[in-house]
Parts: sequence; C-alpha cells; structure tokens
Amino acid sequence: MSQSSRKRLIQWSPHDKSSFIVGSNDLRLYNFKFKDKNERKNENNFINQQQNQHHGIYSPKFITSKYMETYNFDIEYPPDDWVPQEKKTISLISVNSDVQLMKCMGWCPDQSDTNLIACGLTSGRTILTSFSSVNRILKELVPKHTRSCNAISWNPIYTNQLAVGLDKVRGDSSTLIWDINYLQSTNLNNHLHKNKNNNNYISKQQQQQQIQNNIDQPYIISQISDNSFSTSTDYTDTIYQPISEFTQSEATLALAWLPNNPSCILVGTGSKWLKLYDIRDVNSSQSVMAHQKSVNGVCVDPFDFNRIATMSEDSHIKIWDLRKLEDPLIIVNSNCKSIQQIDWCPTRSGVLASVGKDKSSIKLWDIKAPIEYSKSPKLESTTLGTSNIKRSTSNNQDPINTISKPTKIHNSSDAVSSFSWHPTNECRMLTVSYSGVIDVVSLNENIPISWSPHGGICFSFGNNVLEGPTKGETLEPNILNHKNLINDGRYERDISSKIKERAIFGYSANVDENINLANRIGDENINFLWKWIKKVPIQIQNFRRESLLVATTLSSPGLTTPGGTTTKLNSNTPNNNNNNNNNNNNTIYNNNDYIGIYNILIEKDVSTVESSNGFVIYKSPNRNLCLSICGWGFNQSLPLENILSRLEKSGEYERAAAFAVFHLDIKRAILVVTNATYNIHPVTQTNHHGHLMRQDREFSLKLLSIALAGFDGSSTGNNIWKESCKSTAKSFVNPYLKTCLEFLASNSDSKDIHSIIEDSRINLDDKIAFSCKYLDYQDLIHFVERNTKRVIECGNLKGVLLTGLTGRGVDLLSNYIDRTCDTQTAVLAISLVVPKIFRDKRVSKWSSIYCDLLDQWELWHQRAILDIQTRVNGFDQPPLPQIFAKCGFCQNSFAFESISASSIVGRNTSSKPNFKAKVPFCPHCKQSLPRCCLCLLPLNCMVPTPEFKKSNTTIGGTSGGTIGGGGNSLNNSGGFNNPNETQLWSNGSEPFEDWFTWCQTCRHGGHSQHILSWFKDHSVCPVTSCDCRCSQL
Amino acid sequence: MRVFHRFSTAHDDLIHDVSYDFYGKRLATCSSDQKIKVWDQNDNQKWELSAEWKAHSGSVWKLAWAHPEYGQVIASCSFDRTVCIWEESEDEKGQKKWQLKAHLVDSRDSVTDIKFAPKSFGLRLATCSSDGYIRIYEAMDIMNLSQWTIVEEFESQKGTNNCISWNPSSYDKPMIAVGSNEPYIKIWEYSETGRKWVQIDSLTAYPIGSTILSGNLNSSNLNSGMGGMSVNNVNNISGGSFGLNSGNSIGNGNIGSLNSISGNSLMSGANSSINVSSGNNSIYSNNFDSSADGGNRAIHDVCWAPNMGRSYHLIATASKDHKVRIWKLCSDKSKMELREVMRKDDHKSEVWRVEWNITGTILASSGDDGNVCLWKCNMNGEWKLFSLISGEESTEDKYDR
Repeated sequence: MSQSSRKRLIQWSPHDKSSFIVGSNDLRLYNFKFKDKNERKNENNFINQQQNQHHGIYSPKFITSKYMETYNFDIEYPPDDWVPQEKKTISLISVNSDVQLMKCMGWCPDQSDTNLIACGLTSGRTILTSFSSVNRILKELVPKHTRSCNAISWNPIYTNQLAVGLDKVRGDSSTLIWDINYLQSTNLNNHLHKNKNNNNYISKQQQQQQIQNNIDQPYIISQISDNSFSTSTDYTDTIYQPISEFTQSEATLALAWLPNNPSCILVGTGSKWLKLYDIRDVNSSQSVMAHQKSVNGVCVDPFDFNRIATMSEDSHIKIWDLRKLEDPLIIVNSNCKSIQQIDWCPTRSGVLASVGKDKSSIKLWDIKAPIEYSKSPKLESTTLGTSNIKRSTSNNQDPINTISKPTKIHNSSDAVSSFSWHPTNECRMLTVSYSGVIDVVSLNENIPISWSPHGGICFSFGNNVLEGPTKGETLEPNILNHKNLINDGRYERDISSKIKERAIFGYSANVDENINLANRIGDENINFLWKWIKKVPIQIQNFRRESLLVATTLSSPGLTTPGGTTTKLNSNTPNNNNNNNNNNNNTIYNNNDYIGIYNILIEKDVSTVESSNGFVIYKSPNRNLCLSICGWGFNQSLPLENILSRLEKSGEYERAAAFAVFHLDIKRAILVVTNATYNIHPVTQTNHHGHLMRQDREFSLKLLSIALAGFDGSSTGNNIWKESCKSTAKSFVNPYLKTCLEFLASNSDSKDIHSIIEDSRINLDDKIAFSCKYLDYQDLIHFVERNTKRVIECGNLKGVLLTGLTGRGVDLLSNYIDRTCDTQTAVLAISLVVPKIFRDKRVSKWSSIYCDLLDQWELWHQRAILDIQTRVNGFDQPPLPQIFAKCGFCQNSFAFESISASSIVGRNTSSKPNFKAKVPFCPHCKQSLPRCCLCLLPLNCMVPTPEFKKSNTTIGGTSGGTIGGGGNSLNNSGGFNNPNETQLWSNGSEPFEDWFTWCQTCRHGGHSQHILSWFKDHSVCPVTSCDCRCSQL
Repeated sequence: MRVFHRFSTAHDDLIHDVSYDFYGKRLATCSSDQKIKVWDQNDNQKWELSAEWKAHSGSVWKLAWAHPEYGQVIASCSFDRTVCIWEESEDEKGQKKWQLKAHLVDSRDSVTDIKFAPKSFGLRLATCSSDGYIRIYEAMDIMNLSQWTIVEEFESQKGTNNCISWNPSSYDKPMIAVGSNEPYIKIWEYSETGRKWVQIDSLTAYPIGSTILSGNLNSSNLNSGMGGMSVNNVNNISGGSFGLNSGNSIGNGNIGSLNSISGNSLMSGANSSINVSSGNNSIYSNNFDSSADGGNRAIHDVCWAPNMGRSYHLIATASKDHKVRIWKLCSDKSKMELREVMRKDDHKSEVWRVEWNITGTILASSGDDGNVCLWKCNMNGEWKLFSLISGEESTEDKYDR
C-alpha cells in the first residue's frame, strides 16, 4: 500500500474536547482550537484590554440563570478587501512513531487516564500507548496466532476491558476480550513495588507536574483504569491471556459494546452474521444474518441503546432493534459501492453519518424520519420508498422502510479515509483523507434567523439561541474603535434605528419642534428641509400679498396688463399662449405656500436689467423672491454686511469672499480676504493635516486677493488678467474660490456665466441664487429645469428648494425613499400639504407604512400625535364624528336628536360642555335606554363617582347593541387585551372612564370603568346567566 | 464589543426556526424534537420560557406569528404533513394556554414553509409543501380560528417547494415568491380578472453582468448567472453549433446568437438590459436542465423585503450553490422585471436562510459555515457585506469553561 493511499484513522478525544488523534504509520496527537480572540484583536488594533481579560474566549464570563448565559463576542466588520481569517487552528502536539502497521485504534473512555489509546496492528497484536509521557508502548496484548486485527472496542463501563476483533484462523476464536490490568508478569510486580513509595499517593495533578519536570528522564507514570500502577520505560508489559474468547472459524470485523449492558457485545462477522454475545456465557449468543456480505461495522445509537446500525460491504446500512433482531427496522441505501465507516451522531438523536469507500462525501441520514412516518396517523407506507426486502406481509408487522435520500451531504475536497464526530459539539466533525489532510467540518444545519423590529437579531445554533445585541447597542460598529473601516455609508447606523430614535425624541410634523431638534436629528439634508419649510411659506405669502397689491394698483389706473389676471403670481402677465396653462398651474399652486423655485420662475415675469461693474444683473419680483428664499434677499433691513460678518465669524472666509464678489462688492471681498489671513492663524486645528491645510488656504485666499485687486470692473477688461485668472481658478480646490474667480474672469454675458455655474460645486442654494441674479430668462429656466431634474433623480432633499412640496416634490421624495428608506422624513414633510392641497397615492401609502412602523414599535403616542397633526394639517373643518348612536327600538339617530331636541349630549364633540343630560330614554319612542350591567344606571347618564370632575364629554347612549357606523373604533380602544394599555388610557384620559363599552359577542356592556374593574377579578361576563368570556376577546 | 445573549432552549434536537412576534417581545422556537416553545422577554431583557408543547409528530420546520390584530396566533408546519394553528387563550383559571385551533391536513407530503399574508388581506396563510402545491387558507371568521378554508390551491412546481414569501406591501396585488429545487424563483400574483393565482409570465430576470451589452457578455457571465432565471444555453437555439461545454470559445457565439434571438430588443435595450420579450420566455425556461443539476442550485429560502414606500421591491434568496442573491423587482406598467443586484458567496458553503430587517435595509443570511452575514447597501447602491457574526466561535466557549 503506497504511502499516500494508506488508510488513516481519526478520533476525537472522549475527554478533552479539543484534542484528537490521527493514526496511520504513526500516531499523532493534535490540538484544535479557535484562534485566540485576543490575538485576532491585536491584529485588528482594537483592543480593549480590560474586557478581554474578562471575556476572552477561554474565560467567558457568563451569567447563568436557568436557561440563560450571556456571552460577549465580537461581530466582525469586514472592510472591502476583507478576507475571512482562519479562526481555527490545529496544532500538532505529539507524535508517537512506535506504533506502526496500525489497522484500528480506540481511545480509552476511562476518565482517570485521559491519554490511553489502544491500537490494533496488522500482526494481531494490540498495543496500549499513551501521550501523557514520552510516547512509547505501555502494554502489548498478544493473541496466540498472528493475524490481522480488524476492530477494537473499549468497554464503556468496565474500562479495563478491551474487545479485539481479529481475522479468522483455524482453531482459534477471532474475538478476544482482554483485561488490561491482568497481572501476569512478576517483573511487573517488582516494578510496581519499586515505584509504589514514590508515586502511589501523589495526586494526579502532582503527577502531571512531575511528568513535566521529569520529561527527559526515563521515568514515566501511567495510570490505567482504577488500579494505579506504573511502568518503567525500558519494559513493555505483555499480556498473553484474554479473559474471554469466542467467535470460532470466522473473522470478526466489527465490535460494539452495549452501553447499558456492559457484559454484552455485538460482533459483526465476515460471514454476514451479526451476533450478540454475553461474555459471561459465550456459548449462548443471538445471531442474525444481517447482510448479504460481511458485516463491516456496527454501532449503538447513543440515544437509544436498543437501536443499532450495521453496515456491510454492500451499499446498505441497516438499523436494528436489539429486542427484535429478526428484521431490520430501516434500510438505508447509501448509493455507493461500499461503505467505509458509519457513526451515530453523539449530539443529535437519530442522525447517522456514513462515508463510502474512496468517496469524498459524508452523508447524514435521519433515521427518525421514516419512524415518524410510520407513527403518523394517515400513513400510506407504499408511498414511502420501496420496501423491497419485505419478507412478511402480515398486518401487524411494520413494513421495512428504506431511506435512500440523505438529509445532508458534506463534500470534502479529497476522498475521506475516516471521520469522527465531536463528542459534544453539535456541528463539528473531523475528517482525514488518505493523503493525511485533516479537515474540521462544520455540519451546521439551517441556522434560522429572525429580526426583531427593534434592530436586534436572533439565530439559533444547535439547540441554543443567540439573541442580541442588547438594548442600546446596534449591530453597526462603533466607529471610534473601527477606524480602519471604509466610510461608504455601509457602517452607518441603519435607518430603522434612526427612524425609531427620531420618533421617540419627538420628530414629528411640527415644524418648529423639528428645527429645535436639528442637533439630535443630525442630518444636514433633513435639517435643511425643515428650515426651508419653516421660512418659505412666510416669504411666499408676503410676496403674494405684495404682488396682489401691485397688481391692483397697476390695474386701477387702466394700464395695459394683458391677461389681467389677479392671480397672485401672475403680476407680470404671460403671453396669451401660456395663459391657460399658467392659470391651471396657478389653481394648483395658488394655495400651496410650499412651492419651489422652479414653480416660481416658470411663471413669466418682466425683468429689468441693470448693469454694474460690467456685469448684467437681472431683476424681477419673482427673481427677488427666489433670492430671498435662497438666503440672498438683501435689502435695508438685512444688509449683505450681516451675512458676511456672520460667515466670517464661523470661519467660512471663502464663502464670504465669494458672496461679496457675487454681489460685486469687490472692496468688501478684499477686506474679507485680509480679515481671513489675520484670523486663520489662531484657528486651532486638531488634526495633523491642519498646518498644511492652513497654509494652502491662506495661499489661495491671498491669490484671490491679488486677482481681486486686478479686477477693473470694465466689461471689456484686460485679457491677460482674465486668462491668468481662469487658469488660476482651475488650481483652486475650494469651489467658492474657484467659481468666484471664474466669474470675475468671465465675459460677463449670460452664456458664459451659465457654463460657469453649471460646473460649479458650490451649495445648491447659492448656485440658484447666483443664477437668478446673472442669467437671462432662457438660460435661467434651462438651468433651473436641469437642476430640478437632477435633484429629483438623485433624491436630494435639498432639492425641495427647487421642487417645493408639489407633485415634483413627491417625485423627489420618492427617489429619496428609494435611496435611503427614510419614509419618516418624507411622510412628515409632505403631510403639510398632501391631503390639504393635493393628493397623491404614494403619499398615503407612505404614511400608512410609517404608521404601521410606529405601531410595530408600540409608539402609540407618537402615532397619535402624527394622526392629530395630519388631521390638523389636512382639513380646515373639524373631523366628522366617528360614532353614531341610534335607538334600537325606533332606529332614530341620537346624533340628529341631540340637535333637534337638545335633550341629549350627543357626541364627544358636544357644543354644550356643561350640559348634563340625564335622559334615560329614547327621546323618540320613549323606550328606556340600556343600562350599565354593573351600576344599572342608564348609559347616557353621568357616572356617579366621587372623582368625577369634568362632565364635558360623555358618549351618547346606545341601545340593545345596534350600533351604527364607527362602532369599531370605540371597541378597539376599549379592548381588554392588554391591561397595561387600558390602564394607561384610563390614567391619561379621564373621560374615557365614562365611556361605554360592550362585548362584541354577547352584546353586554357598561361603563368602561366598571367593566374594567369587573374583569380584574372575573373572567366571565357580569350579566347573570351569561357565561361569555368577554375579556378574552 | 457587542453583546449577544446566548440561552439554551433545552430543545432535544436541532432548532429549525426562531421567530419574533410582531412587536419583538416574544420569541417562538421549533425543533426536530417536535416541540414548539414560546419565550417571553422579562424586564431584564432576558428570555424566559413561557410555554412549550409537543406540536407535531414530526420535525417542526417553520413557525409564523399572525398579526396581533388577530390575537396571539402561531402557525406551525411539520414533516408530518400537517399545519397546525395555535392560539393562546385563557382557561377557566385564568391560565394562559396555547390551544390547537386547527389542524390542516391537505398536504400529501412534508409542509416546508408557512407564511401569513399581510394583514390587510385578512387572516390568510400560505403553505408550501414537498408535493409541489401552494395552498392558501383563510380564516373566514377571525373570532373562530378553528375554521380554515382553502381559498386557493395550485401546483407551483413539480416536486419540492422549499420556501415562500409574501409581498409584504398591501398596496400591490397579493404576490408570493416561491423557491423550489429549481434554480430560479417563481413569482405568483393574484389576478383579479381570472380570480386565481397566476405566475407572472411577463417576468424576465437579469443576472448580474447582463446589463453590459458587449465585451463582457461572455459565456461565464451567462452561465454563472444561472442561479436566477437567465438567458441560458442560448447556443441551443441558434442551431446547436456550439457544444454544451462552456468555455471561452463560445463567448462570442453567445453574443451572436443572443443578438439573433432577442433581435432589436437587445439593441434597443442599450440603456439597461437585455430584453427577452415574452415570446422568448420559453428560451430559458425550457432549456433549464434542472435534472442535470440534481437540485444543486435549489433555493433554500426566499424573503421579500418590507417595501417602506420604495418604488421597487427587493427579494433575497439563499441557495444551495453557496450564493446569497438579492433581486430587484421593478414593475414597469404591465411588465415586471427581476434584476439581480447582489450575488455573493462569502459563506463559501450552502446558504440556508435569508431574512430582512424591519425596513428592508439590512439582509441577514446564514450558511453552512455557521456564520450569520449581514448585508447592507452602501452609498453607491452596492450591496456589501458589513458584518459577520459567528455562532460557532461562541459554541466553543461553552465547552471551555
């Protein structure tokens, strides 16, 4: 057999959960572990020493309640070029090269000696060896005749017993049971005696210590089974006499002890038999012809000791019940020529792993599945596989089930020589290939995941559930700790947690409130939006008022105002062609105070032209309005100087200089630059680039001042100066400086300026204002149109400046949602106009989505506030009553009655708050109204309680359960599902106590206060002889 | 450092499903040990066992909570071919107890997935089973959950259906995405006119890479995209002049034949896509040789993202070919278009489950490697891995106390 194809065996330690052995030409002990978390942490440079000491992977701090343990562990945050780190490491601990020509091996299950291993050799000898010391053979168990050793099995209870299966030989048994403590040699006794004084009473720990101390001395201690004894290195104890032997004249190929009956052993023989021996009486044995060929393997289910699996050279695995060995329970058809190894999963019941000879795939079989089927009541067994080996067709007999589909297949890269289940870990298995490649296989199955609405996640692992992160934490990394992550928005907090947080601290449709919350919202674009919403209606209203005034004064003297419309925006009238069009637009935008610049500018108006310093400045009322919306509306009350000094104060010198230039105040611009060079120095900049940046900035500003100084204010200008300005502008990083210089160097016609502003990267509002000032009508419309399209396309919130809260604004918000999923902001902003001014399907969809979201987070108050706000924003008239009451006898509406007869307090929107109606009957038919089933007072009466304070709202009486229209809304709020909730309601809103509530099933009811207190102690309806369990609904 | 609670459910076997209720305050788990357990969160944020019961006579595969509007209702499905509806109610002593309300036994094979419809469609439950049928049940009277009627039953796929997911948006027609052993998802829609569920046949799917019209459109692009519906094996149509073996040599051939099939739609689709018109749909559906794949590209899980008012839908799939995929479903008037926006194989092994968070902005996926990966869209609109949680690592903790 060549080296590479030599069979290798692998086995986990039954004691230590991280070591395993691999046997081939030698015996190697390995250690498997996850890479130390501290190690990995160090690599990533985010150490938290203290925490690691407590929560390192090998010393987890856990809080144990009945079911719960808490672990801290890191989530990995992979950057873009991330390659998964190998977390598992396998290290070779020891090599034992004394063991050669090994055929099989077994790790002693005895707890007292955790390193004792038995190996069966091709010579038939079985050797005991250990890794606890210098690796050598401790004992040899030698059969009478030399033949190959096929199987080894330790007795799981009497761990000194070892069963060995051998090839057949004439006149000798092939199954031998050895007692490894069998004392035969007198030499041993001497040795024993010699060492007794030294070692016998030394505790195990000390022994180990001693082993380490004496590692290079030829002196070892091995503790075998319960008889502690020791041997010296130069002597290998040999045992020739087995305690029991059986199975004549056939080879023993497989062995398995019964864990519940330690004197019984299962033997698979070369001549197709499965035999069950009791070693106390080897002559009596149960046997069954198990397979068509030799029985190569047998193992006992660790979850059901009566269930055993056998395999054969043919492709079948059979599952047997020990109590009824005649027929197999289940036949597994593995679909491969020959099976090499089978093993039950030690952690999951009914799971069997198998590997075929020279196959690279490990198959898992679920034995429980067909059993479940047979138990299932409506079984049609014929549909399940073919029971081809069905021998008996008696009605009582369970049919033999065949499984031919594995539940899971694990494919390794190489043909598997041997595998071993991890004794405790659900999902781990080791495989070794013929070439010696060891693979730690994770046989995870279907890890279910569930997201909590609060941003947590939970998933299972084996039969544990991992749930987290804990409250107050998010899944996203703490940026302070993870500086090396790329900032592409991936590691930002998720929008769901942002929305929730904002909702909780009061982000609502209240404009002033939202501006105050700007800091906490912490989003530049959203804050811009609300600031705009705050100021724009005032400006537009003022403008409209003024222009109306102008329009009327203009028209009264009889001047020609073509079109002559009095619509507010149309003070300067359009051409006839556009007249209708604009009128239509106007009807839409007429009462919308939140229109955008696009809507304003699209209206025709006559602009006046003014020339200053060689530049043409366009002026018109609409343009002025736009300027003031963009914050450029300078006049006597708000001089430019104010803005400039404010910008200077906040250190935005470039912008200030550009502002001055854009307003053609060159002197002021130069002043700004000089101020800047004075003031930039003291600005303390913390980052280490600061110095460089400061120098650069200063240089740029100085450069600008030189350029400014050269500006002569003539439209013809100095061409050399212009050219140099243009080329200098290209080198400026700051968009304001660049635009500013390009502007000065331009040919001061509209086209030229258009191209400058088109490319500029200055803020949108400045850009628009600039273009309003310097572009002629054609260019301006073109420019605004293009920008509007662009902001809509990328869903830029700042674009509301252009679109306003109009139909196109909804387009913009829709794209904003597509991009960010921030439905909240969109809903809140658009709620100012949508049901009131115009309607849009998308908006109602968003708002219901947002409401659902609030519901899911149980943010009832926020939800209620939102509902109220949209109502207030939405309609001028008070909402229609939602509750109607009518008499059950005469079918007359009470609401109507309350107006005509004014004898009843109709609804909660009663116009007569102090009017205490005590009408116990229907004003129409004079039939008495239903009474509260607890206090027996008629329901439209005030509830006579001492705490009763304000009686301004009562509910109109109802009768006999015939409740009209909006009855449901009442019932919802009065539902008893959640006592806390109702508690909250009754505390928060007093009048609710006096409301009437009733059961939908039995139609009994009364004052909600009474009903609530009743159901605190009772579960059945308060009405006598009614056994309705109303409170459950 | 992020803290995860780890608690033992004391299930005797593998947990097949965990599910938060609508408010995230309760957790239900189900397992191969045939039990369902319900956990309530106490004041210390710890999970306490609130109820457990043996639910089925087979492994319980999946759980679903109904919207709380309908009460505390759980549906479970199992290998034992049944679906059970459980409701929590109080008995005479005021003890809360989960009661079996209904036992739905129509399936002829293991029921693999169940999902409740969005609440606006009423109390409806879609089930999918290994017998290939999708069954939709409805509780006509929500006060009496023991009466469930099959409102719809249709065969989605011969053989196993693995997973279903409702379109969570109430503003669209009812839609279901179904994943089976076939390598593509099917989307079914309730047609008002026909009063039945129909598969959206105008649907075309574009794998990643198909948007590039020339040069990059080589065979590897097409073949690697087979995890979803794709224009695959085009060479067969063009007369079989190219063998089935893929390789660089047929790259150009593919381009050519594609051109000839989809004709001008390909050329006119310059803005975005290869547009296989509905007449050519048979091209990919017929030529999918799924039997040769042996179900190797089977879809294990499908999850439809919460819509949040977006103009498009996102559907994630977990498949056996190690890939996590996100599909973008755009409806353009009458036409639906399914475009692959993410395909990642970071699990390096079979992917089992995908799940969206509440806003549909983070996707979690789990695979055979024992990791849970979280995916998120960055500013450029690309979906990227943003974190990785390993359950395995901490399992080791347990044994190294």
